[in-house]
Amino acid sequence: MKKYSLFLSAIIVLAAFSFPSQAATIQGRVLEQAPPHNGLATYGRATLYRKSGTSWNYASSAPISATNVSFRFQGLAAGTYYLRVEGYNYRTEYYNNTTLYENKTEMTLAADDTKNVGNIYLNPLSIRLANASLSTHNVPAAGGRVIATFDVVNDTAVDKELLVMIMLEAKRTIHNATIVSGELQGASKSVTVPAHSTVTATKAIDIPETVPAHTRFDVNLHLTQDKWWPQANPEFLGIIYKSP
Amino acid sequence: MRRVSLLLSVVIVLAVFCIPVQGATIQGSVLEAKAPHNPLSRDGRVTLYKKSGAEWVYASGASVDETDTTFAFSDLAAGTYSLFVTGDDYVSEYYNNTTLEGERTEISLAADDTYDAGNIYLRELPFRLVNPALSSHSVPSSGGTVRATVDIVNDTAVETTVLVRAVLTAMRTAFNATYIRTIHQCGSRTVTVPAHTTVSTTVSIVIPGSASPDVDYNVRLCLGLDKWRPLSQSLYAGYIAKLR
Repeated sequence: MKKYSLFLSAIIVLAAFSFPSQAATIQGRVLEQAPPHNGLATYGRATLYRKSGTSWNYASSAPISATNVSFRFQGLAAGTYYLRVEGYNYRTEYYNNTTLYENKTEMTLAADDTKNVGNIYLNPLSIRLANASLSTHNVPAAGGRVIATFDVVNDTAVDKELLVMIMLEAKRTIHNATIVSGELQGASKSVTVPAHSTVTATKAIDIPETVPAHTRFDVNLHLTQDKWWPQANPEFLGIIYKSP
Repeated sequence: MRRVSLLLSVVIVLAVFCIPVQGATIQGSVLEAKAPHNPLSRDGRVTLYKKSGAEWVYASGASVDETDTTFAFSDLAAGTYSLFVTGDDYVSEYYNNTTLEGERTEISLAADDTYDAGNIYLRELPFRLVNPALSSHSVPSSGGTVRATVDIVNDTAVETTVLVRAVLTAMRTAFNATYIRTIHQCGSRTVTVPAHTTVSTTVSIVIPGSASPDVDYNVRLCLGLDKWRPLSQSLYAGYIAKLR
C-alpha cells in the first residue's frame, strides 16, 4: 500500500508539471501576391506587437523565407495584438492588407485563443533588381574582369531611367587571424526601363593585378532613381576572390 | 502514516526535479592590452569552439563591450574547447595570447569543471580611425555641406599614406511602411600620417538640394591603404537627415 501511494503521488506531481498553462496563439503564412502565390523570393519577417495602455510594445517576431512561409506565435498572454509583415524588396504591410499603420487590424485574444490569420500576401516593390549573377567568383593573381548580369524591373506605368551601382566590400586578413573590411569600390550604370518592362543589363568589374592576393570582395547591387534616391534594397550578387 | 508517506514521496519527486544538471563553465574577461587595461572601446566577441575528432566546431558566442567586459559559457559538456576573441579594430586572438590558430591553447574540461581564462588582452590595430564627429546631423531642403572629422592613428614605425572614405547609406520610407536603403555616395581623401603619430582630418559631405527630402544618410568612415586594401573596420560617424 505504501509503494502504491508513493507511485501514485509521483504520478500526481508529474501530471501537475505536465499541465499546459493557458496561452494564445497567432499563426499564418506569408506569400507573394502574384499567382501562383509562391513563397517570398528573398527573406522576410512577421513582427508581433502587443498593446500596453495607449502604446504598442514589441512582442515577438518570426523569419519567413522561400521555403519556410509559415509563422506561429505561441505562449501569448491574453491581450490585443497587431502584425507587421515585411519582405526584402516587398512592400511592408500591416495585417490585414494595408500599408497604413492607422488602418492596421487589432486582434484581441483570450488566454487560450488560436487566431489563424491565413495567407498574408506581399506585393513586390514596383522598381527592383532581380536575377543577379556573376560570370565568375574569382580572378587570378594577374587580375581579371568579372561581368555582373541583372534584371531591372519596372512595374510602374511610366518609363524610368535608373542608376544601378555596384559596390565592392573588400575583406582582408591581417595579423593571421584578424579580418578587416570596408566598402572600397563603386561603379554605376544608367539603364532606361520602359513602363511594365524588365531590362537585362550587365556591368563589368575590373580587378587589377595591384589588388593584394587573398582579398575577397562581396558584391552588392544598388538601384536608385538618381544617385540620391534609393529605389530598392541592395541585392547581394556573390563574392569575387583574388587568388594568390 | 499514509499521509506522511505521500508527503515524503512528493518531496522526493520535487527534489529530483531540483537536482542541477552537471555542466562545465569557461569564463573570463576581455580588456585592452595597453595599461590601464580599459574595456574595449568598440564591440567585441568571444567565440567558443569544441573539438570533435580532428575538427573544431562552433559551440557558443558571447558579446563584450565597454560596459560588460566579462563572458561565461556555462552548462558545457565535458570535452576540449578553444576560444577566439575579436574586437572591432583590435587584433584578433586565440586563447592564450596568440594570433596563430595552430598555437591556440586547448582547454580540457570534465563535466563539472569551471575554467577561469582570466583577463584576455587585445591589442589595437596599428592603423585605425578614432573620434569621428559630424559638424551637423541635418541639412536644409536647399542642401548643405557636413564635415566629418576623424583622427587617423598610425602606430607603426613607417610613415604611411592612407585613404579615408566617407560612405553614405541612404534610407528612405516608401509606400508608407516600407524602408529601403542603399549605399549611394562615397567621398575620399588621401592623408599622410607620420610614424607613431595621429593626424586629424576632415572629409566634406555635400548633400545638394536635388537630394530627396526625408532621407536619412548613415555616414560611415572607411580606412584603406589604397582604394583596394582595407586597413581597419569601418567606423560609424552618425546620420544626416535631409529636411523637407
